[in-house]
Amino acid sequence: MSDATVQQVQDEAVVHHSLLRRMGGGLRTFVRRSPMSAFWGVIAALIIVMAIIAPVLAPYPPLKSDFRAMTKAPTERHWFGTDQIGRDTLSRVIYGSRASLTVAVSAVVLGTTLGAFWGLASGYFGGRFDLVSQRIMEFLQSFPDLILAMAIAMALGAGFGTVIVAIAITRIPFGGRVIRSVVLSLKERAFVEAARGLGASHTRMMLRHILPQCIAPYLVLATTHLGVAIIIEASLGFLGVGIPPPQPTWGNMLADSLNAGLIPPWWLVLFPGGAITLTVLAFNLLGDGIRDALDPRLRGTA
Amino acid sequence: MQPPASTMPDADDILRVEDLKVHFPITRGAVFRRQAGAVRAVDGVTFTLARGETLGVVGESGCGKSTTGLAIARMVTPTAGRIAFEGVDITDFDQDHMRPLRRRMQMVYQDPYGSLNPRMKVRDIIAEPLEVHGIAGGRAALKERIAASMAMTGLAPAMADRYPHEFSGGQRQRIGIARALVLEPSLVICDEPVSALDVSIQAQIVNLFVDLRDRLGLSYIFIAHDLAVVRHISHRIAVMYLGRIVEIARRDDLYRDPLHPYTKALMAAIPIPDPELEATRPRQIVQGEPPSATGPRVGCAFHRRCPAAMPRCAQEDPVLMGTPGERAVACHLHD
Amino acid sequence: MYAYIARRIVFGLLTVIGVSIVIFVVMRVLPGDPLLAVLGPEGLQKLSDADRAKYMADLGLSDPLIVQYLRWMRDVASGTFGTSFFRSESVADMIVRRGPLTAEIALFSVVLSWIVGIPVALISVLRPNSFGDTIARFLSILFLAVPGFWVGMLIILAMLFWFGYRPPLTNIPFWEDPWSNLQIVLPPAIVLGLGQAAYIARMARSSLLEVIREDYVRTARAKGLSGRLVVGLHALPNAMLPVITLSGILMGFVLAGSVPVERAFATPGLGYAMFIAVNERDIFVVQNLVFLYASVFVVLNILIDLTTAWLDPRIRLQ
Repeated sequence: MSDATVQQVQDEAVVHHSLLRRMGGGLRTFVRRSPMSAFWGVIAALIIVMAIIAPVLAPYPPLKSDFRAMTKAPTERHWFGTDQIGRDTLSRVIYGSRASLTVAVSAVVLGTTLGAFWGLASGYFGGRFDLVSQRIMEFLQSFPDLILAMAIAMALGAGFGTVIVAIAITRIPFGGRVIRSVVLSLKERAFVEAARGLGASHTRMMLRHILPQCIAPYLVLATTHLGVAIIIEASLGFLGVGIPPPQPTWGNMLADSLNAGLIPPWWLVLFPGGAITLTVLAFNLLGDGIRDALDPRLRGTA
Repeated sequence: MQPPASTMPDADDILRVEDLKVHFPITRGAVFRRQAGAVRAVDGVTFTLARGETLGVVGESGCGKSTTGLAIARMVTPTAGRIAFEGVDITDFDQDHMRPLRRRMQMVYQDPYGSLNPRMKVRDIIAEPLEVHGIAGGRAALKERIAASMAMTGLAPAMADRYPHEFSGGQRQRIGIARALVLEPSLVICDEPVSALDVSIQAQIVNLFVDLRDRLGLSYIFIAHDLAVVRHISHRIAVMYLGRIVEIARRDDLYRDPLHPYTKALMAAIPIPDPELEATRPRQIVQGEPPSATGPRVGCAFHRRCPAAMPRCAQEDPVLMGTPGERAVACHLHD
Repeated sequence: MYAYIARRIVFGLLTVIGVSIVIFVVMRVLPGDPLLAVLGPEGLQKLSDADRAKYMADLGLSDPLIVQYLRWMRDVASGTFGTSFFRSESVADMIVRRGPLTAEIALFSVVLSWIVGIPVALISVLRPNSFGDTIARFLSILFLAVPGFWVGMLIILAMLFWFGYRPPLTNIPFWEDPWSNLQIVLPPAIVLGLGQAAYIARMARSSLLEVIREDYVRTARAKGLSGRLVVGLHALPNAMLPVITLSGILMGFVLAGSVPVERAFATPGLGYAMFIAVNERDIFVVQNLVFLYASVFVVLNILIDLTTAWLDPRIRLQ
């Protein structure tokens, strides 16, 4: 295939997956092309719905102790058993999805978006600003992500907002690097040069010619990082620097299970952890599907 | 703010380029970057362009012809020399200073696939220059102007709502031309506008350029890599080699009597549209590669490949000599 | 090649310095009272202004930030890393005592990830869409989603349930009692190794598939070499470069994962020390351990880069 044809094929791919089209007929195509991703998309949607209508679904209030049933294995009254102070595990797992999803989504949106705009400016303007930005991103990426998140969460003091900030900061370099490289390759494209030749201002070139082409890679990036963010949130909770108890999160429920006796009761371990795994699995596979649909060139890469 | 303007004489010329140089730095060093040299892409180019005139610029890849075009449009920064457009010295203008002038000076690019934003409809692509310069007018006026521009370049205005990928290469190039002409410029810099097209389409597009020039009184800098393409459209032709003009002449003079050995070689490369003559025509093939644009210039840049090289050519760099505007050549054979 | 090595080392040093600044900023400059970190919110409220000033001075926290930073760097350079708020043990002693265990876990987990990941990728490539391929792909997707520390907790439960067994909880060096040491080290290494193996298998599979499509591999096939030999002789060595690089990046996964995993197994390694320090709000220990983890990560990646550069004749012969 000649370069020109390759270019044309890519252009077609870009247009076919422009946002508007994807919302309408695109959804049907998505389901038909990758039924597995669509299935996991449904699971992810169900988990999100569960988080939203948690009070309706949960059989008991998550903080209410049932003193007649403490550290009880699953029964008909308590499907997932109870913890050492008689709280219903099923209700806590359902409520835990709220913390997990809120934190993960906010952190990814915040961190990736901040990183993306930084990468956009850094790639577009280049020069010294780009050089310094690259170094800062490299410094941030030199920390194993959980380690940095732990340190930040500890320094800021545990809480809902601090956990979000801590995870968001670890996401910045990923957004920055991916979007920067997209911008760098776009800058080489002749239509950006052509816009400059028309007299277009920096703002116009960025908003009109560069930003729209960054949306697909941004979406792919954000969905693939949701799973990571959920695991970091759970790990922070497990390590005692996440959202503090008594608010139930899957991470601090697992941490709590270690206090329920010398040997943690299996139901206190199995269900919250299973919820984490199922959620991460759903978002990862949905993300893979979105990536394949939006950017066929990335198919098969890790 | 009014840009600092220094006018040069002879306002009849739409463009004057004097001793233009564009050097790209080469940096070395692991930690501390230092400039280790420069690629002299354009190394002393001088010419003028009269209103309504077309100057063809030819030369092999790497000779600096495209960089010359980009420097004139101020898309790259000249290292030295002067560029005056419509009497205004634009050598040191930045993007903000250039903006008002870009209405009068537009470019058509080589790559009809890459130079159109794949996410924009044809309508928006052609409307963009009008928006940038704030001359869109009302919705109806805008629509009319886009339609007129499309019709002028041979596109059906009904296709305004399509995306670039729905068009062929030749049609895409028409879109590029419509975008350049919608501002009604006086100078259009055509950077190899037909090189990426099928040979069968090239003539159509060249004819379109000729037709538009005659109707709108445009001036062109028309860059191409072979003499066959520019013959039909150019009034004058400049032959470039390694960053410099080695010969510049009126079209007919050049084709009738090429002076520089390099021009002769390019001329010999034009196929003759008659198979029998083509089979017997003498071939003068230029051997080897042009010398590096980074090393020092010793002697004539062409002497290693020149069939007529003399001992003097290896030592002395020939200067471009002759009647300005008529004919000039940089070769020791014609001193 | 030498210029490449020199550049990589200089940038590595710069990165380590940058990392130290980032962690210092996180610990001292972010809107958080350092004493909040030490004393907790209740303790902070009871504190009088005089006590507060005294605490700050004792801990060296009232000096200008630049002085504090330079003092810390001096401690790092001298190898003492300062001392814990709550224990007499210096951070250096802590690293010497607990570090080897965590290093062992990391090493075993990397070895395991290759032993498991590469064969799984080979199965996928040699027998695409076979039963084995399907299982391998499913497992690698699953293991990307499972939190390692949870797998650790499940392993403990399973071992207790079926064998009534629990690994020893004391720090036993390998040279004193190899068998007990391995009992401590292997379970966390397996958990972290399987997590990495999922990434390794995924990367090795796509890297192999890419290489197999290259012309020189087709040529080898056309010469009549069997599929297995082609993969073994021509494709595998070339497909390994990106996998080695990924292994370096995954060190971040191991180092980070070791903290919750060591907590799950109650392994007396550095990760567990980090967990305790974070919960005790022992900022000096956290600061130094985070710095250590990041530096180890940076240095390992430089070594990996140099190795891949050396393995790649295009870079080696430059």
